[in-house]
Amino acid sequence: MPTWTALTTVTGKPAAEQLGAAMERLNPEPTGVGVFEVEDDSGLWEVGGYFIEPPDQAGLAVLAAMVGAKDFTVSELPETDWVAHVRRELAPVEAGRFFVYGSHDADKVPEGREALLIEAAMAFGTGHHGTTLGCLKALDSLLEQGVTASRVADIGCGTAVLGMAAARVWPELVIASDIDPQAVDVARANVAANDLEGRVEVVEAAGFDHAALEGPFDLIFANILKGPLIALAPEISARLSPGGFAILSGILTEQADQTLAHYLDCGNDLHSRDDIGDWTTLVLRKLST
Amino acid sequence: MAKKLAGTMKLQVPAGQANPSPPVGPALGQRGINIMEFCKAFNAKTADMDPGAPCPTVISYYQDKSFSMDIKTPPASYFLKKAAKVKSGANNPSRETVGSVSPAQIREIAEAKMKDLNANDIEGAMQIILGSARSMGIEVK
Repeated sequence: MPTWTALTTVTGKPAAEQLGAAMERLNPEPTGVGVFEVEDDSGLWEVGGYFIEPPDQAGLAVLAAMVGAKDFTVSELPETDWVAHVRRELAPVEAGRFFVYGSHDADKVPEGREALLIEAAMAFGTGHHGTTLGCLKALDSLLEQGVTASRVADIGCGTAVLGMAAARVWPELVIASDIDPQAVDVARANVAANDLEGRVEVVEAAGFDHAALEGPFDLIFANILKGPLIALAPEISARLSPGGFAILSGILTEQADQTLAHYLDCGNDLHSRDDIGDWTTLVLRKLST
Repeated sequence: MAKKLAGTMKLQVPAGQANPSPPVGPALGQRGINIMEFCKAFNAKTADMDPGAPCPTVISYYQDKSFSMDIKTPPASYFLKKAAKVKSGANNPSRETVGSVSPAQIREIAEAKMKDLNANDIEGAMQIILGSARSMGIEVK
């Protein structure tokens, strides 16, 4: 079935959303409308429509003028095997000893690596992002330094990839939690798919609000965002055992110093820091006294 | 996890029948989103609906290619055409009537659509459906 696309860019999210909504009223109507942020800090948003017959170019021109967007570019998409295309994009992620892959790459798992099967689906934490990658690399680095942890928590676990990575290398039970019930379901399915049932317990909780999260912990992962990381600084610090580590991510590089200051105030030292793209991963160590 | 929204899209997807053909394939594929996982989840969530009913679906996707979906009820026009047993609405609804539905059917449609309508109660929802019926040349009797 042929598909036509009509694409333009416009400055600002409100104008982009207004244009996207207006496109739905075109005749012939689009079968899909998308509004996407252009990831180059330009402030531009891309607005696109998908049609199964040639779209009304005069109508598109009127809509573009209405919000000050550039003229639409209309083209017919070539026949493409989109499933194969996506599989190429969702390549395995390697972070030290860890190898995170989707089921379509099950035949590519190298021997001797800690492999984690994670589908890019309904929970964050596929490894295809600087935050998750940074946390996995930080864990790998701690292992290289001979660090061991007998109690581990993964707060805001998403897919539970970080908690599962810890369970692969240490024998004790890992507690993974998320505030989002859908993420909890996905995490439990991932734990089962990776044969880690009984090794990773997934609970639904806001922050540490669950009996299983009382601590103390030798290692706490928190790959969330700056705001909740700062809000949780006292609780994370209080639940770390003396000399224990916290691996924090979800922090934009320009937010790292501010986030770090809160953790230093709560009795931790900076152990290491890694910037990947726009994102920073902090490894903190709880002071012994 | 540090979810950062990368974009949203709204697609019309047939209940229980999502597959990699347009619009799902190109729309998700161009963004590198896992088409098969989307189809599997969408088809599971719509398994109890009329197969093929068009569902407006808002897909939000994040920087690591994970996604979430909000599946809306099919448009009023879909329910009205089905109830009136017609294939399409009138080209000129002010002069042409293509079929009819009963007040009970209007209420049924309003109840089915209630969660997605901007209405305070079922009476308000029925008024919206009546308006849609009039604009399609479907009378109520």
